[in-house]
Amino acid sequence: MKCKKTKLLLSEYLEDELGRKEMVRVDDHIKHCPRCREEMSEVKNLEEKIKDSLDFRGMALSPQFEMKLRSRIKTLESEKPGFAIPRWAFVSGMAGILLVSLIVLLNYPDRSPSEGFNKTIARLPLQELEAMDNTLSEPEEPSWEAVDFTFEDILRTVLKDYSPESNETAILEDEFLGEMLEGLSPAEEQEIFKAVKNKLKV
Amino acid sequence: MDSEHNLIERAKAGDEGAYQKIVDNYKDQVFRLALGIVRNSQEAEDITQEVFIRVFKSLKSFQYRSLLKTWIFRITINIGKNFLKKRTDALPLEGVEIEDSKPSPLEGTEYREKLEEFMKAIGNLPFKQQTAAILRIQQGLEFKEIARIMKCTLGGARSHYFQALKKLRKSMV
Repeated sequence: MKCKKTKLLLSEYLEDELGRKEMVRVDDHIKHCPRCREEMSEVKNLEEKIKDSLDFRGMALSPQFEMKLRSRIKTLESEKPGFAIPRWAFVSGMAGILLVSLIVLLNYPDRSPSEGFNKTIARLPLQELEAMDNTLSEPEEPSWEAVDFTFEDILRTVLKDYSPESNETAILEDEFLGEMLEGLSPAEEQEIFKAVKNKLKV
Repeated sequence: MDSEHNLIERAKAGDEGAYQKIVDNYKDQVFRLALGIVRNSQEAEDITQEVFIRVFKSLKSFQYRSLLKTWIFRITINIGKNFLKKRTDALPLEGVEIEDSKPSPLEGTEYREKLEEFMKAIGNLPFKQQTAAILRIQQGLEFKEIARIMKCTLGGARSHYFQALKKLRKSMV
């Protein structure tokens, strides 16, 4: 071990804080190096002097310290909201709300509250629509999942799946068709029926 | 250590008694460390206040990446450094005040002279050397711990301390 490294380790050597390997190496070096031995005794004296000088044990915090701290803590506590929501709960809650909103938006892309009633009606089979009491003031909750189809999708499906031989009532009672119709405006719905009738040559 | 973990968890959960126990456990060490840095009892007390306010505010985010003591000491050093920065702009370091001190074990002028001599010498050291010296000599910390507090390498902590000793030796001859 060189003198430079030994000097850096002297304080720990004196306090017996070095590992066994380093202790032996410093020990060996000091035995053979008078300059480092001298340095060691100087470090020892200096540390003792400084320790005495830096012993602030005679100094203490003022009696007002505790009172002042308690008062500041109370002020901080009073600034807190009535109940604290843990951060994890807040984050999970917000993520949950976002997820639900996203699902709703994806399933009901352009639905506004005023459109709700018409769209609900639109997804019901025709005979139910006819039988429906128009005096109902509030729409019923949709009883099945809404699926998004464009007018062209529906037209294509209807024209593909039903042949001119198909029974019109069967088409109109088709639950799948009912589901498809629910996203359309009344005018589009009428056009579908028209197209089906034309194909069926009704 | 288990009991300190318990204490921290209770304080995190809002137990005032546990927080008070943390203050009681560390306030004197923090005050002495601050005193070593700013060499003014009033400022050291203000720093101690700020340290425990910071502990109160941030304890919930304490993740046990270090010992509580290491964390508290690091806060103390950072706040102390800020106090020094502000003060060097406005006030010279000469006005050392030790009037608030209680009777010391080494009563009399000899103690006071030694204290003042050291305080002046340490005040003239670069901040890192000063911090390493205080943590080593006053707080009796091992260099591993000093390195963690100062966020430097073990060799860096040893080197800062050794440089401090060299300069203090010259000034105290």
